[in-house]
Amino acid sequence: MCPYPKYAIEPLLDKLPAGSELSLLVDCPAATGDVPRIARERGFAVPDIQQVGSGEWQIKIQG
Amino acid sequence: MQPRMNAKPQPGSILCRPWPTGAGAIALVVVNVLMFMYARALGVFPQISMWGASFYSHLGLKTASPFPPYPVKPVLLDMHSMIDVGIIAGALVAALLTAEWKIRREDWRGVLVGLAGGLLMGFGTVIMPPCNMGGFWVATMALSLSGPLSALGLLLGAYLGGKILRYEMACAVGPVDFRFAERGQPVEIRPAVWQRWAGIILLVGIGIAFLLYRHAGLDKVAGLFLFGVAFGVIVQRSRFCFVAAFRDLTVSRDGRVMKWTLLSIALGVIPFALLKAHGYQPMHMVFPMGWHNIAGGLVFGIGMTIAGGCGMGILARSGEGYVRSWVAIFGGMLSAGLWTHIYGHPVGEGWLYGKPLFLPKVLGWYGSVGFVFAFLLLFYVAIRFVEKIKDETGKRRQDRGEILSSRPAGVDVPVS
Repeated sequence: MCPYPKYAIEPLLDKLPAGSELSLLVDCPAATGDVPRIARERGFAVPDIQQVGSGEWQIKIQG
Repeated sequence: MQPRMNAKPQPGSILCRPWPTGAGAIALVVVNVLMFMYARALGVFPQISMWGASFYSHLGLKTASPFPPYPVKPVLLDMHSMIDVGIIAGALVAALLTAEWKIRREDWRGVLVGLAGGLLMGFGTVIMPPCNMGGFWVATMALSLSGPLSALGLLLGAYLGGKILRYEMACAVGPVDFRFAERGQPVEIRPAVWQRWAGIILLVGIGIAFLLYRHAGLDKVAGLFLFGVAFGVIVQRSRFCFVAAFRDLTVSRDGRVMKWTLLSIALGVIPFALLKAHGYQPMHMVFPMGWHNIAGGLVFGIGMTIAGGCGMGILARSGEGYVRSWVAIFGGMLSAGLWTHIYGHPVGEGWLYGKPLFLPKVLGWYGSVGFVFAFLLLFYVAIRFVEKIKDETGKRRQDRGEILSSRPAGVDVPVS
């Protein structure tokens, strides 16, 4: 639910072990813009954002 | 075929891709100016307040609508209410056509937070008045001094509301430890073709409703309903969020959305001034001015942040299937609808409210437009200052290697 993914991603990225991949499932349309932006700002790669169902997206983040 | 949003834009998928934030801001102000020329500018919460008064009347408690220009009427025959209905319908149709519609359920805590947010928004709207769309965004371009004053309260309210959200999130993700995470299962892609068909049927339904209103001689109701639909589509597709503008600036020191908001006001102020200077509805969207703008903005700001949307936001999101927004609208109806009963006067009368201050009466037309631009420029400089602090803090952290070295190294835990 908006805007929780945006606020959840920062502490989650701090904990993400280096070299691993995080797949985040979100159902907030705005998160498909906010989450990749924050991840890229913090030096992570976002190779893919895919709609996986009605109103649901998978965002892949690589550390 | 499912829409896919890779790092590089894919040609051909433009209709399914979200609109850029700036396009949303500019589209909103263009539609707002056109709607003002047609009948009135955008405002959504006085109608919700009227629905609340109507709800109480049906329960046997006779109470007047808090905003005198919005007397209690059947929703489907009230041209103002049909803007709100149009926003819900527009967001719903846009979400269906792009297969983004989903019932976003809440647990009991989420329902309570949504209700609390709605109750605060309802009280905020009658104290400010009205909501942040009419009271800040439109009022500023309509040359009402209440607009800039409301921004102060909204900023403070969004800061406090944002702190609550961050605390909730810190509690939720605190226990997560990826080192013990198991490999996730591949996500199954579920097509939702039915949503596209439902969207097309709803679009036809909107067209039929428009023609029926025209046939019944209710041209303004028909027209404002379509304007509402346009607002709903823009908000859903661009994800433009006025709450994010205030919340991101104060909590995350991110002024991106607020800068677009300020630009949209700058684009709207000249058409509004030209129309008003030629005698077209000069006092439209000019509201009482005083300390209550700041106090009401503070209450509304907390409410909109924890409810997850401003007045227009919760209407659009209710169309997208957000249960929290449904509850927030009901909460807003409950508190704002009772205002005349509690306070004893309608909005704008009695000890609480100052007098409306229409800037051209004090500063002249050129002076008022200059005043609004000076306010926007000052606001912009303040945003740049806040962003600069964030950039410097981030750079210092990076120099110290805090961000990357704090992460556990050498542990490969793919989640999917």
